[in-house]
Amino acid sequence: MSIVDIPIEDAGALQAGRSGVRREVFRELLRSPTFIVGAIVLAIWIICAIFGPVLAPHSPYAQNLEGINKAPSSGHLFGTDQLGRDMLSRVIVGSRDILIIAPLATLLGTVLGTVIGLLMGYFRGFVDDVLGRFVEAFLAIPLIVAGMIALSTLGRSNLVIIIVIGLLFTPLIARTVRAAVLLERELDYVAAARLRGERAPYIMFVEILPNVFAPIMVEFTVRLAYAIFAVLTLTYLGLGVQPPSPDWAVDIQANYGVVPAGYWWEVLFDALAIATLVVSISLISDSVQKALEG
Amino acid sequence: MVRFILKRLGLALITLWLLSVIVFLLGQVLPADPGRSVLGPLAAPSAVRALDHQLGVDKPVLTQYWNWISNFPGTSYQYQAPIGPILTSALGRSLKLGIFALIILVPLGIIGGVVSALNAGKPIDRTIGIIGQSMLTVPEFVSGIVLIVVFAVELGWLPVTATAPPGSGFFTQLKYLILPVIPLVMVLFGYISRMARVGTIEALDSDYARTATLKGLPRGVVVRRHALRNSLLPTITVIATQTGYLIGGLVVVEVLFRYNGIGELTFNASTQHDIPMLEACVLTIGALYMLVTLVADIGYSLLNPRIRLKAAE
Repeated sequence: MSIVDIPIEDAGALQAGRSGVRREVFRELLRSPTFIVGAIVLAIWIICAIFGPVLAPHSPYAQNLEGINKAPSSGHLFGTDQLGRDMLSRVIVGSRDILIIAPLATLLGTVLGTVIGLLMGYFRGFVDDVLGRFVEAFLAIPLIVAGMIALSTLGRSNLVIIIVIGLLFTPLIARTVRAAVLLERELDYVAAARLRGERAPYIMFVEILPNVFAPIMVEFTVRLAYAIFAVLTLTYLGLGVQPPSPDWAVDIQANYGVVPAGYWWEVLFDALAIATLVVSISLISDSVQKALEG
Repeated sequence: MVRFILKRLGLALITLWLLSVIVFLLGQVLPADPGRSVLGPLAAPSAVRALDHQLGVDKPVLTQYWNWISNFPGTSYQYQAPIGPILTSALGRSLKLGIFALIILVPLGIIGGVVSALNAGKPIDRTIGIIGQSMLTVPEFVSGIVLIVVFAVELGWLPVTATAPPGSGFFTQLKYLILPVIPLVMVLFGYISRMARVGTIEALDSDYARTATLKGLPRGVVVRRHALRNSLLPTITVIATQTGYLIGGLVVVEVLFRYNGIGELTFNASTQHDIPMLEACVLTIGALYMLVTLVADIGYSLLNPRIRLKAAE
């Protein structure tokens, strides 16, 4: 059967089939306990990020030098830090920066990585070889080390973190997209589009892109957890969000010195907050992967 | 086979050269004013110019690159001493920590993966998978701090730092390294167990495993003699590709536990703007990573007759 023989209705059926698959994936997700747990925990942190200042019992900045390093009590459920600030309030409000920075950085990396991956996978040959070498060389520098160098030379604003993490993720995402495109480009519909005389950008972005959307989605959720990992680690190293902003990693870095004195609550709740956030995203990405792979 | 190895070596050399260019550009072109960043904002412009001249950063970029590469690793701004000896002793300490982590990680990851594969689809498989996936994304400083709070501060079983007092014996040193190693193991456990799981499942699905089962071999023998032999090879390659993550993790763990390895050295160089030291550290880390993956790649192909023969064609 050649292309012209395919009745127009079948093309419609294909379209319907695709959105049907999406509904099926969504239903599958709602049946998965892992996804539900992950989504609830993430939702709680998103609510904290948006309404934090309203929800927090105290101001996260308000110092009380007469009540420093107080253990958790009914007045301060998570205790107070070295400046007498309420740790519970700082943990609640601390979710905001990371939930803005990490998704934007991941989005930047995903968009750039998808474009480069499409180019590499579609054109192969010279473009693929040259870009591939660069990707390889870049991957030899551990992400945290590269981020450290970039942030210590470029300065430490949130915008710089987003751009740096986004750019560092680009080659990783490009590699995944390239692999998916290599499989797709051999399929009949791509050959058909080429025979119709469509131009390369059209084939890449209109024909191939929707079909490699699933791996890109999976990659996005996986990378999001890593973006949080990377941003918080760099912040912990003193290269990210700066004090006195309430931020989990900033607090851990600032209060780490007093832990040996027994003031564990000044770092432990921040650590648990980070752990629950990244684990919730891992659970979501794990179940999205399961649902898409069927 | 020789051609295959030569080709791999050639590609690795090109990648290493590209890496040196990237590192050079990151370190030398980005900070607009090295003399200023060393001397601080209050220094006289003439002093800055003199230092720039002494450092050679006022020369054309290509000359600078050549000077850097031909004098590698050069002299540290911060220590005012040759980088070589400082770097090698730090690297040695990091290797100690990294190898200790691998000794615990590799068997644990493989056992986790094989147990998962043998129980594929059952709750225990799902549990190992979810635990592995969750630990994968918990930053090392987070798990490290929890471990410090629980085991070092509250229970007092283990030391807070990783550096044993000078002259302590092997087991004392080991005791100091236990806490720092756990976060590294946690992060990579998920990867390795997942790869071991996939490999084992594939091997168990294969025709030769089915034949072995059909001719009446006990399941234990099929798993040990037929499936594992084939599934562990790809796992070893994966472990090699994770060296990069391991080194990234070392930076954080060394800073958290105050251990003066290459991670802490890199971190200090970057915060102190000690650019030659930073470049030397990053290039060493990158080269190490490439060396490990190269050895794993070649070793894999030597051990696996299918790839060996294909390469020979």
